[in-house]
Amino acid sequence: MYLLWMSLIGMADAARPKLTGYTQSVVVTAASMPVTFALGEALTSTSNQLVIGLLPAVLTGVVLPAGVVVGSSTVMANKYGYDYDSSKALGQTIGLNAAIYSSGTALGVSTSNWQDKLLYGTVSALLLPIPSWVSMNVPDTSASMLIVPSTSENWKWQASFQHRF
Amino acid sequence: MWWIVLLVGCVQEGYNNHDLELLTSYRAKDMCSCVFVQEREEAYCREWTKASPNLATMTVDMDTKRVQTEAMQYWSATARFVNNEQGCVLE
Repeated sequence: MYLLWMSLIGMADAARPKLTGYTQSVVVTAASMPVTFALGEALTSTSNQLVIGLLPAVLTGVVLPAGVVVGSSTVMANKYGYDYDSSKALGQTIGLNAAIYSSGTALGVSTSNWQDKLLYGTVSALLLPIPSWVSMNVPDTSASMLIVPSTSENWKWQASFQHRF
Repeated sequence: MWWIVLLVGCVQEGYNNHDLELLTSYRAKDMCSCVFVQEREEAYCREWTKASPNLATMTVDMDTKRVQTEAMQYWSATARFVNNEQGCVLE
């Protein structure tokens, strides 16, 4: 008795636009990071009080890159035909960026240092689009063929093709 | 109505600089003085210059005799040792 599965999984072809879209999101996010730094620095002098003066700059650093990621991912999800829950992705991206911001702060990242800005901007640009592109539904196309012998003398081929979306 | 006047007065009270600007500048200057003027151990000086809220991180460069402090990424200060007479100054 022989059983043969031939699976022709189109994952490579399906993943290609997703990787392209992720790369485009990385580039857009990286391009927005200098704007985020400049705006955050400009907002540091809004108040002399600890919390009130802190919030505009910190919120800009956390929310603005997340907004850029979700905005660019929405455009690209429409372009490539993916299902994308932008409100859920925004929450996840803000949470991730809050973690990245906290880690950067604990490690002593400073916007007065261009090397820190370059490193922090690169890490943020690479990590922040991940929740968006992981949560998108991939149009998955696959075909499989099942070959089952019905008797010992005669072979009967049953081909079953599946097309999944 | 007098309490509104008092409240507004209290809100307006304080320095022109943000708390974290004061915190990073204070810690850079005093850490620099502690390490390079008083010549105390770095670990001792880190404890000695700790302020509340303890938000400032810092880097001590023993070669160039500089102390750089950072808080919440957007506030930072650098102090450097000039000489034994002038001590440390903020950049």
